[in-house]
Amino acid sequence: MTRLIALLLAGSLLIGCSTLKPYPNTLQKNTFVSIKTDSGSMLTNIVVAVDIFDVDANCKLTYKGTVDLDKPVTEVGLATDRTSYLGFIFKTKGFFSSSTSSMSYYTLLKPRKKYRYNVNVSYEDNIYDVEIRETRSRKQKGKEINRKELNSCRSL
Amino acid sequence: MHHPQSAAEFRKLLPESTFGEIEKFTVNQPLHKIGNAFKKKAPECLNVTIRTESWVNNSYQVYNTTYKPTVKVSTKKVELHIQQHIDNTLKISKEPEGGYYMMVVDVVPINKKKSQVTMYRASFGNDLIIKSIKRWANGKTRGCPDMTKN
Repeated sequence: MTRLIALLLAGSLLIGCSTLKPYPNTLQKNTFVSIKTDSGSMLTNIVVAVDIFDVDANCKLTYKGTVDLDKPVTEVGLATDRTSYLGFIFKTKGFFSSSTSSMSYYTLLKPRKKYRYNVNVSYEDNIYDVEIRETRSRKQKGKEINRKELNSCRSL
Repeated sequence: MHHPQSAAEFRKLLPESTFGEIEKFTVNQPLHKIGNAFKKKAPECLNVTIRTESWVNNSYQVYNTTYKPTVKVSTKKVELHIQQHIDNTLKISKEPEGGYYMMVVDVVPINKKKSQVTMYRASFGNDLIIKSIKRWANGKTRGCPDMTKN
């Protein structure tokens, strides 16, 4: 739990300077992140990004970089047949306020070869959602991949 | 000053609190479905730490708020307890392990299809948590509240 909290904090720090280490994103694109947001308020701005970590056999994390989700659909290449740890960071800031806050949603994902992953990220009416679906083709909706905590990494 | 040290004590002392409120409502969901919804959504949505940064009077302030949900399910009752811990603050009373109790929700069956939900909570604030718990109790389990807005 302490480790997870430390990660959450690390994530929230990372988003603050998310361009410090952009994710190289050189692998074949297999993950398509769609984003839909309202700010929740005319006076609030929201920025969403995803932190990507490699997970080794001992569940140790290596931070690979951050992808800013600033387009309607962002294509990401994740390593296949190995586990990644994805941290979706929702950072909100008031236009007329110096306060910022960030929310994090972390999950493990082990992409398979020849599959694509459609990730629907939404933030509407102050409710956020991350839905990950695995499919073999663009046309299929695919099956939903449930959120997996870091402490379940050995069972993947 | 004394703060409740358990969920049972929270239920007992809340009516004596100036800003305490007990809200009861009925939902068209059987108890076991609500139990499953709470077991899925409470850890997913409420087991979070929020980092807040701000400049106030030329002073940079950072603090972390950690929420701890606990779900108890039996054939007769479903309980959701929510605790809150804020880092680096002066504690004016003993803080229970996991943080101060901020809300307790009890659900009991009315019949096989309906259940009664009782929320023990403050009469103001926590609107998003309350809204989310009501959604979950009504079978809507997509999404989580933005706890930074709570």
